Amino acid sequence: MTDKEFENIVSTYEKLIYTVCYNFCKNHHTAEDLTQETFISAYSHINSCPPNALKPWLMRIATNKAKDFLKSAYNKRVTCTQDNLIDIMDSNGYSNNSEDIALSKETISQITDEIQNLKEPYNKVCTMFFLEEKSIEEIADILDRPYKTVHTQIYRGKNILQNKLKGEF
Amino acid sequence: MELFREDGHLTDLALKMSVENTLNETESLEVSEHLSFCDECLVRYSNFLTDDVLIEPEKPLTQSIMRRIHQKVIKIIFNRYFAATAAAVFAIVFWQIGVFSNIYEVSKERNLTEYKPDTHTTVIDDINNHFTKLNENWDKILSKFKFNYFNN
Repeated sequence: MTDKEFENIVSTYEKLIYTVCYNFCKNHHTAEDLTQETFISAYSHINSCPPNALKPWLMRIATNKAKDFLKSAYNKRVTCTQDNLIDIMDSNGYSNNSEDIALSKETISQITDEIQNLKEPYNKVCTMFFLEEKSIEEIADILDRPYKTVHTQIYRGKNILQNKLKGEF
Repeated sequence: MELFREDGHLTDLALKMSVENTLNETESLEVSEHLSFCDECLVRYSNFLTDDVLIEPEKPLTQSIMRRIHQKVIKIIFNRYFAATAAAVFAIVFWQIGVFSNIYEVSKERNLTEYKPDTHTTVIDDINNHFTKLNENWDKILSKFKFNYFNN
């Protein structure tokens, strides 16, 4: 592909890609940067573009760039203070006291309900991971989602559950 | 307000809100994450992006994009030529200090026909013998290299 041809592609799809980037990051400067990065990536990998699918291919690159940007901002903002739901359960204290055992069962039941009440896209992944004890690979396979996406969704699902359960305990 | 259907795909509401820029940061992340791997929802999203909703950038980007691409191409070409030039310079330096001629002389001195494998030896013995000779030759190369380097 010549430079002139690629320049035509940029002119044709510039507004579309800019709109996609702006829809997610909501900042003009960031949208400009992401648009530039989208086309630079596209130039580097133009040979891997499927035939007659330039528009969705460019949009896929743009949404990936926007997702990476948002993920980076999200990760800086959110920190997980406890790694595991079990830590939350343990902090309520397990003991041999029968009353405490009954309370623990109630806690487990509450946690199970909260998991099942999670909204998508966290409901299925968290149910499979925490309640059905499936591995991330299995979940990614069943739901046809990338491994990394499932991993991230489990992590975020945990954060949501921790915030909900901390309020209740 | 549901952004995802029961089947895990985005609702029309989610796509409409994306186009209208009314998603919050977490919602934007969730939607963009789904669009990054779901072809079906990406097609549906592109159908919402009609000409009347497209946003014009504050300034035209085509020229700045092409300029950045050209800069990247120049950088790649420069890196390749720099690596090739560095390799050529090292080769000339080694040639000047005599490393290649030392290797040639040592290989001439080494006479492989002197070593005839004993029919009673095992494969392991053969391999051991070859490595012993390799070590001896390498020591010779190193000592000649040090002699030439420090005396030139």
